[in-house]
Amino acid sequence: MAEFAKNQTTNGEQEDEEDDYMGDLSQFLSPEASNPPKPSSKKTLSGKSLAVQSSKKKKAKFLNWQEHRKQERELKQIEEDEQTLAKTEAPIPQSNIGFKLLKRMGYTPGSALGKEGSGRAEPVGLEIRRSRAGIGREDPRKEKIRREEAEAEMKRRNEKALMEDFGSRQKSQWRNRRVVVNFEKAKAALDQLENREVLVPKKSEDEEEVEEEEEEEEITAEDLLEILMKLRDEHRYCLFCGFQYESMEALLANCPGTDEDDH
Amino acid sequence: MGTERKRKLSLFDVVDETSVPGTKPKLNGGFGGAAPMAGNSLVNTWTGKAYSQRYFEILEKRKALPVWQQKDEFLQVLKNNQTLILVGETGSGKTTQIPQFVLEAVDNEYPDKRRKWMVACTQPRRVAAMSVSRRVAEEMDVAIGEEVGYSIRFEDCSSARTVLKYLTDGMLLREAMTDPLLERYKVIILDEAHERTLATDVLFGLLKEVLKNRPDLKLVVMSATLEAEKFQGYFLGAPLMKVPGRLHPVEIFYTQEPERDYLEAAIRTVVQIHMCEPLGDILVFLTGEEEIEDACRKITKEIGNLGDQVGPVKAVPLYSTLPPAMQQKIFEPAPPPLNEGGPAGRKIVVSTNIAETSLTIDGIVYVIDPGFAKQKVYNPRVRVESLLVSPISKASAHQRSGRAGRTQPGKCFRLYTEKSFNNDLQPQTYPEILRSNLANTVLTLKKLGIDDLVHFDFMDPPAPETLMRALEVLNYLGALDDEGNLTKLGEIMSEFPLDPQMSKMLVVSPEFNCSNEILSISAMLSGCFICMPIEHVHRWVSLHMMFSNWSMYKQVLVHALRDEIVAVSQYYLMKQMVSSGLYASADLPEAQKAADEAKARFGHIDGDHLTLLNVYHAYKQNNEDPSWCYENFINHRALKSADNVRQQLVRIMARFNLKLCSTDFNSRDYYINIRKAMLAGYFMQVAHMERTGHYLTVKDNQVVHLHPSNCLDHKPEWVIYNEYVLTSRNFIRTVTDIRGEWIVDIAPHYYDLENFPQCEAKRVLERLYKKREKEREENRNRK
Repeated sequence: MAEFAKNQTTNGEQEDEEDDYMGDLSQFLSPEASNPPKPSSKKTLSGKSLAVQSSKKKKAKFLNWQEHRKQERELKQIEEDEQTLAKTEAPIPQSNIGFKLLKRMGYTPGSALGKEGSGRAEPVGLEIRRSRAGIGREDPRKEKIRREEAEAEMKRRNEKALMEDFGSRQKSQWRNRRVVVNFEKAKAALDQLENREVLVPKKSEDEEEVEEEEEEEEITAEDLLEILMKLRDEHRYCLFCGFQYESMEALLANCPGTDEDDH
Repeated sequence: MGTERKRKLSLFDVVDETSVPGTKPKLNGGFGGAAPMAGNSLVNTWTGKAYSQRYFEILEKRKALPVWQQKDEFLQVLKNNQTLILVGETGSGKTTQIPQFVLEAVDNEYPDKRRKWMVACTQPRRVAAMSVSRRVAEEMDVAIGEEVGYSIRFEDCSSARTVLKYLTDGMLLREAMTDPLLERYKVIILDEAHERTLATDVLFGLLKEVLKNRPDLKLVVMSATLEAEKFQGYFLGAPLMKVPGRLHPVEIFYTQEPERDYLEAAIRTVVQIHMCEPLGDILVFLTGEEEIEDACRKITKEIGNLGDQVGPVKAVPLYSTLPPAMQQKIFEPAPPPLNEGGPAGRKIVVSTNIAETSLTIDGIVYVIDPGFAKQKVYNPRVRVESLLVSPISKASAHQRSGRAGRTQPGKCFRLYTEKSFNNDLQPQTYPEILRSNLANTVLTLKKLGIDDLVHFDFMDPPAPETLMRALEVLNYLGALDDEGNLTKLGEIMSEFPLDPQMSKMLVVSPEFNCSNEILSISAMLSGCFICMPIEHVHRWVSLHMMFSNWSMYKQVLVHALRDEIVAVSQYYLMKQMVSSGLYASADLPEAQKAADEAKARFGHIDGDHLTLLNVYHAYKQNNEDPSWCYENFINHRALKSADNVRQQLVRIMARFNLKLCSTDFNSRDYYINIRKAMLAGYFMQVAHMERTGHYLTVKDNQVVHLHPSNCLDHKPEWVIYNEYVLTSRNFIRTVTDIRGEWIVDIAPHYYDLENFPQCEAKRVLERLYKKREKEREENRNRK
């Protein structure tokens, strides 16, 4: 209903315009005089542009105004055409007396007419063309709408893909970083267990980070796994439990797994 | 036999004596050579008079027609079959010759002249029925209206002597209403069957039944195109005969890519052909008057710009509403070279699809086909008739290309790709029965006693919803009861060759004491010339604005209106012409004055129907004076024909004892009664103005606009309209102001609020019903 009301106003406006067009010498008067101000924003715009016109440029401006009106009229016609087309979608209801009378003649709802019931089930549809686009080419306006729709859809999809991509990239980045951190930790633990000196002075942390970044590509999950397995096999140590087990059996029994995720 | 022959010879001698001596040997020779052929006797068997010289001259030409090659074959097939299908391209001579062959055959079979029989040949168009019958009468050397006649709506030009009658398919259908087995005919020929008009399609189904009941009746179906197999299937394997046309091969070209603008592309192609192709005229198919006039101007300009390196061109428009004098221009020859020895000129005909089948132009070698045509489609869901540009069918495209090969091998330029031709064009144009409002057809079928419309043997059965709408209209008008049976009222209505709404209005008009006036209005509305779109006239006039003063304008206007009366619209037209600045300013006051006068004289502020009535009255008051008509922009011929229509309608009224009466002209009720009577017929065609100032049709709530040709000086709350068309906008045309109170009094069964969509009109009606209820109560209390 709300939609309807909107259309009503626009059409009312048009009706007024038509009266002007038919009627009188409105062209020779200033457009504001013959066209009382209307709520439409477009109207006020045109009014403004016309208000600033100088008498010299009157003719050119007048053409603009006509052009503008023509465009507006076209837009309204498109709106009306769409409305008409939408209405042609709704079939005649079963409550209609014509429906009942045809049924009385032996019509089965949903079927077609004719000796062998070979007729059309639906009336020939309306096709409204308001352009001079050739056969095989769509109405440029429809085409534009379709293109815009397709573009919007594409954009939406792209964004979604981008978001997903971004998410997964972040996740894998985080994972990679974890691998590096764990590798470092495991390496330190191994060094300790092998009674090597810990060579990680606090000072060089920044440096190390840089190194880490550089190394990032080199240190893979496999490297991590290798070192973890070495810790486990040789020292019965699990990095994630943070504990050196008494025996291999104890390790297997108490440690939930080799992975960080298992813990 | 011997004496017979002798008598003929003596008669020939008589003719010979009266004729110029110099022609004698020629006539003798011509006759001698053709002597063994049938139909070459010297006495006209129909009139008993000697044949004129002209008869023999025409006969020679007739014998050169392709169809004469197969005369014997045709007569043989006709003899052995009840139904036969004859396919022949235009130019084969079938429309004029086949009926004469048939006549000869029937005459041989039923030599007893006292027994009355006829041969009918149907035509989809009134003009064709008239012109072809005239031609055939000339060929048979008889007077039109005697042995050969025609019958079209509101005009019967035949007599008791008539043996061959050309008639519109609609007229044959009407004859079936009084003569269900069509017993007056021995042979019925359905010509131009490929056009698949509404009436032809109904006749197909009807005749199939009649043929079963009348073994002595024969049917010949004549068609021009490829649908012959479909006809054969429908008529259960009737034999098919092909008559070759005179067609030369046509080379077909497609574009590589779909065109962005088909009008531009068409003009470009014209220029290319003119520059590069050898001599020969061009035929361009476009969709409407405006486009065609536009194209003609652009072509002339573009080729003019090329200078004298190329030959001159003459661009000629062609569309059905063009005045006949202008239409004749297409037959003029191409312009001569600008200077001796210079490049030759070319004629370029820019036409709607009337040049596709119904009109033949010789000399066309190139055809440009953008692939579009205006098509009329009725939609039962919103009850609108649209007249919009749509793609043509493959069959149409084929027909169009054939136009290039009439005189020599030709070329056809299709402004679409071959892929589009294969994928985007439907094989056949939808026959009219699928695109029309069937209210009138259903009433006719009902009257013909066909009760089972669901299983009726239509060649192309219409959509169920189209029949539903028709049944609904007839039920609300009271022509069908709730069981679907024809009522007494329906019987009477079916006798009028008019739309059911109009018949209803006529039948009930005595109750409103205004049948005389309703008759005049109906007569004025029935001539299609009256309802012709004003846009066309306006456009036509504006395009020929080379004149600069009022009297010249007037001449052109009258010329433009030669076949259409547009008195209703002249006020609007003039006003628009003045305001759009097409006038030299010096003429403004005079034009304005004339416009005001015209309005004061005929215009009725309450509606177009009433304006039509005023025009008719003024015409009668001025004793049907042609010069008065000229002075007032009124087409005399059109009004004369409206007057004729009125007389026919009066006769039908008399047959059913419908009183002819009028309200006193000075009474306040004079126009009110007329408007009420119109509402009684047109209560389903009402629009209501919403508070926002625009109109919605009742029940369907379609947004519509008053057609600019209307005569109203205000915007009434309620209007009835004669038609609702979708063209450049949603228009209601020929409107009259009515009162909401009348609606609840006259058509409460249609305005049943239980079955009414929520809208402003409904709320208004609710108030009106309550008011009526209250009034009734008050009346009761008073008693």
